[in-house]
Amino acid sequence: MYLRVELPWNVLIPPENLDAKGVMLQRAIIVRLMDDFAVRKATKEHGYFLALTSLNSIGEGKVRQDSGGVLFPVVFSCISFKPFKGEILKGVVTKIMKQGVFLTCGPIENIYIPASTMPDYEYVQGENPVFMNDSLSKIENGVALRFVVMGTKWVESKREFQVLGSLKLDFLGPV
Amino acid sequence: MAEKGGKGFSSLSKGKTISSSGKGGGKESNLSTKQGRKISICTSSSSESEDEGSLSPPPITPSSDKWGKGGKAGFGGKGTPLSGISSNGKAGKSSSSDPSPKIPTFEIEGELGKNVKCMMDCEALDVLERIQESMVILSENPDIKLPESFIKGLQYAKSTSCFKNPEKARHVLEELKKQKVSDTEICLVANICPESVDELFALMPNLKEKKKKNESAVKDVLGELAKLKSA
Repeated sequence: MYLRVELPWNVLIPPENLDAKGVMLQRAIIVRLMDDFAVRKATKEHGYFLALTSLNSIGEGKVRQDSGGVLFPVVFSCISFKPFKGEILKGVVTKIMKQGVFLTCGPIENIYIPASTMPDYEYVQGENPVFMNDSLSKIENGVALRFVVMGTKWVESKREFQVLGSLKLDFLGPV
Repeated sequence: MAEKGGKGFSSLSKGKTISSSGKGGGKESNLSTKQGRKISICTSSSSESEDEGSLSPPPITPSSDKWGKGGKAGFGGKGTPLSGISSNGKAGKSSSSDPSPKIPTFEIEGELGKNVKCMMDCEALDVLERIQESMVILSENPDIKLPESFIKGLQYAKSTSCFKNPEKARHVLEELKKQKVSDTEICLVANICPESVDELFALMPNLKEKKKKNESAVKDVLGELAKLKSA
């Protein structure tokens, strides 16, 4: 689900960007904040960072003794995307295996739906394996699936979420 | 916090837990939840701890990630989930005690912080598209970077958003608040974009619990929503 988040961060402006006045300093802060924001990628609490929407306040800077840079406390708003348990999402199939299928959904790259939670679907072997049910509904690479989120896991070292999905509700499956 | 992910991935990590000595087993099973599911996630690396305390972005460490790789191999090429059973009786136990995991209910109202609000997909699409338009000008400046997730997030919103006019959709959905449907649930209803009451109740079982009371109101709202659908 998309979230609108307001966050306080600290932005460090190196001394070489401090020589200009007023507007340029503000610009340096924004550019630096956008950069930090993009590098941070995601957090466990707020999910994947998509875009900054506004810079709400810039506090008083504090000079850092070690580098001579100035640390500005800022408050900004942004949009993020985070998977929640019980949420209904739509993903695109990227890989099919006997045990289940992998999907991506927006910024989330690791979604797994085990075959055991795909009622009625049978694995059909072949060069391009697929899952098929009695009414010939096919799950193959590139197909969009509606699924329910059973659980999520935040992986700190990769700064990403892994999601376990299921099709065990009516009205789930290929859309 | 940890149990959230753990619970969900129990079946994923099965392959791996079986082969490992089940070190974390004792501790993890304490986490078993009201849903009565057994948790058997492998706690291989401590790098997944929550250190979200600091305000400034921490350095990103591309360290070796045991879970990601190991986990994938577990349910990936190496060994089917069944192949491990002979090596350890645990596998049989965990799969038999857990024949059909209960679908978790969507209840995140208390989970979101004070400074966090949920958005409907169509609202997000609106904002993201506007940002994309302004990026055409801003992208002339090489200093300005967008997060890598931006485009993916935008594409997802495009693929799921089904109301052209988010304000109107929200206005219609606000009616559900009288039925004690929370803000986050309202967003999920909009994202599901249901065509029938049955579809909505199937996908959001917690709404169904109050079915007798709210069915007619929900029906009215879905009827109004159908008029707002863009395609």
